[in-house]
Amino acid sequence: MSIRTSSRLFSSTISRSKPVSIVNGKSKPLKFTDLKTIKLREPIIPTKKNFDVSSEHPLWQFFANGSNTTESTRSFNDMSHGREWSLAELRRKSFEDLHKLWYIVLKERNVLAREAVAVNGPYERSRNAQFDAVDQKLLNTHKRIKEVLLERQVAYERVQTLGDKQQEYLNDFAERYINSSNDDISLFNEKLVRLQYAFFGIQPSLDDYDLKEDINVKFVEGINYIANLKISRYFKQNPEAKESFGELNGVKEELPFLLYDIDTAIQQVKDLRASNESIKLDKIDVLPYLKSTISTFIENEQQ
Amino acid sequence: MSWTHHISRFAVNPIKGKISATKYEATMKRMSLPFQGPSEGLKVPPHERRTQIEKGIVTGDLVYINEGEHKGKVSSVIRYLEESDSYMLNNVSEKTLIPKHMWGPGATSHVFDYPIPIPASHIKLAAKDKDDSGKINYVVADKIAFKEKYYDDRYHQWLPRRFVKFHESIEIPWPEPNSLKDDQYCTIEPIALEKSYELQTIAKPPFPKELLSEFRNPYSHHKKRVFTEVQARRINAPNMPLSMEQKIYLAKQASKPKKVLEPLTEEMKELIGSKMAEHINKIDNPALLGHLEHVSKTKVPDFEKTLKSIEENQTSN
Repeated sequence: MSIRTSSRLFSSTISRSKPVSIVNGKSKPLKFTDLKTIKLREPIIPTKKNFDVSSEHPLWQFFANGSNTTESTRSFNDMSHGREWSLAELRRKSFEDLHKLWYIVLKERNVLAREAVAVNGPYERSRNAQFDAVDQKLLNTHKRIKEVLLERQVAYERVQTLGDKQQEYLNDFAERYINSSNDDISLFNEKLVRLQYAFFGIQPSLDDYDLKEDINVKFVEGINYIANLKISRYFKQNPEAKESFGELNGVKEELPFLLYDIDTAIQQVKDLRASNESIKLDKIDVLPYLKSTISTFIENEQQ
Repeated sequence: MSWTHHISRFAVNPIKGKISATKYEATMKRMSLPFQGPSEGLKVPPHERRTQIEKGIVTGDLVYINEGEHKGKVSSVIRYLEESDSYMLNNVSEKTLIPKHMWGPGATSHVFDYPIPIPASHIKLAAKDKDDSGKINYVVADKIAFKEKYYDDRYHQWLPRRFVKFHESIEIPWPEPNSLKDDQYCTIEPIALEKSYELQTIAKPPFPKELLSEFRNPYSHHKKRVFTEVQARRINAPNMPLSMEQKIYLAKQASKPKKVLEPLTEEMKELIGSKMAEHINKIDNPALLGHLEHVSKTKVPDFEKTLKSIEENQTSN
């Protein structure tokens, strides 16, 4: 019988079919055996003592006190009397915190909904104002969490459209960096670390790298910017090196400027060129190359 | 949306106006048991409800009852009922019967003093003032005027200053609020105020991108680029059915040979030219002549189209 069989048809088939004993393969009406031999045991009273439920049973999460629950519903005094989270408070919280809070609130709403069913019964007219009031607060918190996250998302999307302004700032910073004196350079390098995270998402410390997510197109743009910035400042201070060195050729030559200081980086580029390994990578090879190189670099650092 | 009660689209809902509020109230009164007292009903629709602070009288305020059974009493506010726009006051109560399962803590009797809701229109804001000799004066404000806002530390929010309207030298400060105690579900203040988010990069999205569909519906019908059949039908006019006469007329028109434009012959041109010259020669008025001259220079698009089609005909033949 398919699922789509109507209930009428279903009931008619039931009434027509007779119970069949499987042992003999012949149809045989069911019969009680001798009633005197059947022993009746005492009825099991449905109280909490007669049930043994594991304290780790997942359905305990629908109860406010978990496995220590003694009554089906809380009294009004035991329910929450606080207010909902305000937008201003939620705006201060990180995504991880909001994510946790979302599920805490969701659990509490589930507990309340279960209690409301126990109190109100299945009748739609009966409703408990106290449950509604608490539930409304929780619902408001949920809505506000969504609003805060969506605000951040909208801001993130809008800033992606301001490419010209970003470029303007980067150019301005580059000019200041190249013209900085030797006294200021450590300060500017600190600024550069913050800037490369702000604009290109390049993590300040190597331990924070998530190679899957962090190495992307923005990262490649960032390396290009940083390498050109550093080498321009180097050429400004050593104009005689400019002609012999030439321009940087692709990611392979740009990466050392992110990982090492300027002198080591230049030496590495020279070594690369000497060993004829300085090739401009195809676009499809860039990200795998970066991932493998940076992961080996991190391993070496840890050792 | 509520998880704590079931809502049916088809049930009687006095707020949505499927049944008049008075009728609903009468029904509720008939159905309620004696201990439940008269139903307050839902007098104020949700969009007209005001908070205590917007009303100007809050919990803890002194009020004067100027109408009704309890006229002349001065009492303090216990609670404001937004749904019925009424106040519960101290010592303005009625003895009611309460079933045992609804007894409060420490109750010993079925008879219970329960505050009667007094409509907001029956009460006025009052204030106490002690003068230098120690005599207590009462002030009752007929109307309240709000002025500039200030941050109230006790309420943790911005409140307007309250004055007696038309006697605006008399300020009635907001009362001491009920101190709220944190219960087990409250987040403690330092954790609630802790800052764990700071915008440091514009290169990374604020949350994993798989989550975005929770915020914006990718299947929203506003984002669809293809019209549904119903929408397409609404935009395009339907084909009207034709009557028999219309069909015959259209068939006749279709059977006629297509009109072909041909260039004017020299003879025709001469005839038209001579007629026009004859007409223009009769005109003496130089202004009219000038006007005709001007008109002759304007380009008529239809004329050009006709000339073009004639040319096309000639080339195709």
